[in-house]
Parts: sequence; C-alpha cells; structure tokens
Amino acid sequence: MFDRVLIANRGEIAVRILRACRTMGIGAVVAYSEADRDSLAAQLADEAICIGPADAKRSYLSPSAIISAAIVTGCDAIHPGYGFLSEDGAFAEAVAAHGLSFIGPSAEVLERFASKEASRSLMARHGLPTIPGSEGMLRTDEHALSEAARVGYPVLIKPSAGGGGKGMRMVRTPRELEASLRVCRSEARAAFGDDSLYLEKWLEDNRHVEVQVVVDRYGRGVHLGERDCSVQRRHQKIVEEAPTPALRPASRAELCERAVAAVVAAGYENIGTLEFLVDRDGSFYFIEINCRIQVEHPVTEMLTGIDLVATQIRIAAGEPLGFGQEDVEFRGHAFEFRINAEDPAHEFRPQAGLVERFYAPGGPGVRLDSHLYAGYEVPSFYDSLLGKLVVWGQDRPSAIARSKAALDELVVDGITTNRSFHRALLENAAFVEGRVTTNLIDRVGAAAFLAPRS
Amino acid sequence: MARDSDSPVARRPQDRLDDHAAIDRLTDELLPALVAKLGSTDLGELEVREGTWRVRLRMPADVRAAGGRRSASGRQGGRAADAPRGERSRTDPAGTAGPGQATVASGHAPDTARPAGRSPVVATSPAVGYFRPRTDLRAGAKVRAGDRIGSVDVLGIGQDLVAPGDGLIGATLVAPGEPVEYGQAVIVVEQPAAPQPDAPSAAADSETPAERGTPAQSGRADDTAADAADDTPADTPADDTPADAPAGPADDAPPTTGVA
Repeated sequence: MFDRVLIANRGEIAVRILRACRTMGIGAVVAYSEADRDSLAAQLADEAICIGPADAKRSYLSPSAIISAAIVTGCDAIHPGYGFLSEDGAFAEAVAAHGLSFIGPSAEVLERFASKEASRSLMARHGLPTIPGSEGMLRTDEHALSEAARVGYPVLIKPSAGGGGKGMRMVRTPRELEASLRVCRSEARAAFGDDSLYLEKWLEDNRHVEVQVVVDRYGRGVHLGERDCSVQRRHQKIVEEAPTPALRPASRAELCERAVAAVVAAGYENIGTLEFLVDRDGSFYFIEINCRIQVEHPVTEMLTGIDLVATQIRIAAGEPLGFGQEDVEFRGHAFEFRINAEDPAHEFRPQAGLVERFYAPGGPGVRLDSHLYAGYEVPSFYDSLLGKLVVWGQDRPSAIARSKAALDELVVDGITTNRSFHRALLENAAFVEGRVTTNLIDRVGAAAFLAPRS
Repeated sequence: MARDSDSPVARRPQDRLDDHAAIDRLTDELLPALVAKLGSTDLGELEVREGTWRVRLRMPADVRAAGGRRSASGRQGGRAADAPRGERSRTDPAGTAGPGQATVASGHAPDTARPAGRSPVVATSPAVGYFRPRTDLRAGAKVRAGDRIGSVDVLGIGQDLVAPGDGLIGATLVAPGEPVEYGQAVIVVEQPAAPQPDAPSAAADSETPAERGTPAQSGRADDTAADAADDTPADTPADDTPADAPAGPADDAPPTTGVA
C-alpha cells in the first residue's frame, strides 16, 4: 500500500480523497493552486503545497508541477480526482516514468479508451449494443453530411475527447449540421485541445443510465450497479439516483452484467463507468466509458456500502479486488443533488463570492460531500460545484421525503446556489414518477420548475 | 536551464562589479546599501570610514520624527527611476502574482507613500521544485529587475528565479537544495533607499576621496556595507574585512542573512 498520496485536485473531491486516505492510514498531501490556498482540503491535509497560479493550465493541468510536487513532498502515488488530468494517458505515463503510481487505470488502458469513438467500436466488439453512428471521425463537412444521412436525423454531434457537454449539439437537419460543425469543433478544441468529432443517432426522450464497474489488475471485475443521470441541463448532470426508475430489475441486472463482462474482456482496469442511453422501449446503447472516479459515485456507495475511492486506491496499489459479485448487495434508493454556485433564476449563471453562512443538513441517510465552510471565498476560476447532497432511503418515496427535508435544512448564505431548483424538482410530477428524460429540463425550461406552485 | 544570456534584460552585476572603478561601486552599491540601512534603523546618522575615505549619511530631522518614513515621490535626482522599475516588477510574468508577489505589490503599490529604505521585495519561486542558488551571487550584490538570481529545479529542468525589482541581494530564505512551492519567498532583494535631501551631500563628501582612487578597496563595497551597517556607525569594521574578491569561495555556503 502507498505511504503518501498527492491529491492533485480541488473542491469537494479533494476532501473526499483525503477522507479515504485517512481511513486507510495513508498520508495525504494536497496540491493546490493559488486560488485554492484557503480551501478546506488544503487546511485539512497533512501537508499542502502550492503548485501554481489560479490558471489551471499552470496548476491542476500541469503534469510537471504535479509530479514535481509529489516528489518534493515524498509521495509515492498521485490521485488525480475527476476532470483535469484524471484520464490523461500521457500524464499517467509520466507519473509512472518518475517511479510514482497513478491512481487510476494504467497509461496503456487510458490510451485504449481515450477516444470515445474507438471505445465504442471496442465495446461493440465485446458484445455491447451501440447507437448507430458515424464510421470513425468526421473528416470533412461532406463526410459528416453523408454519415448523418446514412444514420438518419436527428443526430448528436460529439467530440471524441472530453465530456461535460462541451462541443455537443443535437441537429435535426443537414443545414443545422453544417452550421453546427464549426462551432462544435472550436468548442472541442478550446475545451480539450482536440477538435475531432463524430456523430450518433439522437434518441428522443432517452434516459442516461451508467454502470459502475471495478476491475482489479488480475482481471477480476464486478459491477456495483447502475445510476440514472437523466436529470440534465445542457448535457450537464444535475441529479443522479440509483437504482434507475427506467428499467425493471431483470433489465438492470442484464445491463450491469453485460457491461462488466465487456470491460473485463476489453482489458480494463481500476474503477470505471460505462454510460448508456436507454430508449423508450428499455433498449440500451453503450455511449462511452469514464476511466476515473465520478462526481456521482456516492450514490453507489450509499447502496452498496463500498468505499469507491478506497477501492480505487487499493487496486492502484496492486491489491486484488478481494470480493466477488455475490458479495455486493444493493439496499434502498439514493439521490445525489449537485449543489452548484449558479443562479437558476438567471440562466444558471455561475456565481462566485464569500460564503457567509453554511449549515450542512443531517439525519439518517443524509450525507453532504462539500468543501464549503463559513468564510470561504468561492473562486471564479473553476467549475461551480460546491457540494453534493446525497440522500438514502429504504425506497424511492422515502428517499424523496428525506431529500426535501435535507434541502430545506441546507443553508448557504452569501452566494446563490441552485438549491431552489432542486427543491422545485422534487415537487415535479415527472420527477416524482421517475419519468425524467435527458431533454426534459431543456425542453420545458428551468423556469417551469421554479414557478410558484399552486 | 536558461542562461543569463537567454534573457535580453539580464545583466551580470558581478561582471560589472569586477570591471568598474571604485567610484562606481561606491555610488552604486555602498551608498544605497547604507541609505537602506539608515532607513531601516532609528539612527539619525551613519558614518563609515575606511582607509582614506569616509561616508556619512544623516537622516533629516523631520523624517526621523515621522519614524523614518518619507515619501519616495519626494526624492530628487538620480534614483527617481526606481518607481517605474518597481512598477515593472509587479507585472513581471515570472513573478505571476504569487503570495510573495502580493507582498511585493503591497510593498510597492503605495510607492509614493512608502518609507524610504524599507521596501525589500522578495523573489518568489516560479514553480514547485528544489531551490538552486546562483553560486556567484552573494548578499549585497546588485541586481536589476528580471535578473536571474537562482533557479528552481522542476523534474531536472531549471526555472529561473528572477529579481522582482532592482536592488541588492538580501537574505536567502531557503537552503540550497530544499523544496520550494510555487510563490514561496526565496530571496529578499533590498530596495535601494531613496536618497534623502542630505544624501546627495553625503555622496558628494564621499566622492572626493573615492575619486582619488583606492584600488585596494575594490570589491569590498558590499561586504563593507554589510559589516559596517551592522556595527556601530562610528566604528570602522571595514578595516577588519579582508579585501577579498567579490565572488569568493564562501558562496558554497550561500548567505542566509543580507545586508540588513
């Protein structure tokens, strides 16, 4: 096992990784940018080291700064968290080249799954259904048009690299496609430094369901069930839950079993998430794999009782998984609400500023993963995630009831959050009945959720 | 590793030191150091004697009453260029607004309301890595904004540690080979103090003997300044100081204390 881990991330996930290290008896050093000098993780860590200025390119996205920080602080492993360099094969390789361990899949595995389009065909070869889409990358506008015509409109333009909805656009006509290609390319280039695009058939009213897998270095893998992430706004997840209300138990089991069998066969290692779209008929299609810990991992932890970050660290240290599929039990229902510094009344505009008062809700089944504290200044340089309210109940209705109480209890003063949006969503009929599709919020508009209830 | 020559603004203060006559050394280094020392103490007068020459500096009574504080904008004469240089150091890309840099900025921002001789700036680490001092630079050496005064080893590649402003090398706050984080204060650069109204006359006093040429005193200026300043002004400890070469072997143990 590792002696000392460098946490090369920020915000709530840095605190989460720190907690995992503490429970495992591993020393934890937090690498922070100047903008995060006063962050909770930096304050709680055994040691904290400033690796660069606020600009992520020179701090959280700088391989040399992070590796150098790990070396000078005597760490033997680096945890990249999510985002930033977490799925960067070249970074993982550089970490290994300096005699350190990368907590995640090996560089070789990351490279194999680096391209979404390549992973799609790889997983198709290993038996997962995929959405009809372009053959390879879109080379030219003409190529895009002919592929879209072959697949059939509407289609979704997707960048091969990255995530988070950047560079993605759904188009219904050839004219829209032509107009969107350039925008998507420039967005993808700006966000990921790679402007290669592909396209997939757009499934109307789809649900986003993903499967959490854990695979050790010795080819032993289990799934930890699925999560439903259909509550999205502009391709950004806002609320996640498990189990998915979209599938019957038998279908869920089939989805999860096929997913883990395919990734094990494809040589995956460490923890990962396979994302699927589920259509109205309950058919599922593999879309991509995320080779990292995910924001919404606590939902799975609530159901299984398994610490995913600790498991990830153990696997990276070369330990065998230590449990089988038959040992994994799923209990109850859980939600995760992403508490973002954004104003739902004004187009979810990002907010920054001083947190004047902060109170975390509590009670049975309530967990808040957050880096907030009263007096914390939310910097404007990074994403707007302030924390994740995770609520567990014996069944979906009781989890909803606890979620309402917990959201009512949450106090974040001084900065506008999307709490009111979450609270309104819990009263929405489509949500309560488990019918939310990925396009719902964008179709009806966030304002509809915020309208005063009669 | 970037060499000095890579940087168009970089100069070699040591080279200049070696080549210049005693008069230049006196006016460029010894005097500012002494003025800085005077400004940082409560002393009213400072006098240094060595061999055939003597320098005396006197703090104006009104300034002393105000705790040694004096508006830099009130300066006259040759050092007026300091303000724009301080300005430049704040926007130096290599400094990039580190916490040390913040100190620099706050030390400089109210430049017009700053106490003379009390504005050391700090060179902050450009990266996380191991500190490597420049062995040919010692405390008291004169540097200009942008000069490379050390480096930080990042995975085997040196990144320049540059002087954030003009001044004299002061305390080195990190031992050689020790880890530094981004923005960490590494080397203090003492700002040349604003010459007081009396200072020009003090300089004039000193020029005459210096002009006569006392080559034996060459290269002693910084040491003399340091030693003299640390002692009772009336004493002449400089006499005890051997006239060693400016870049001596003592650099193996880099200075941990500066001229102040």
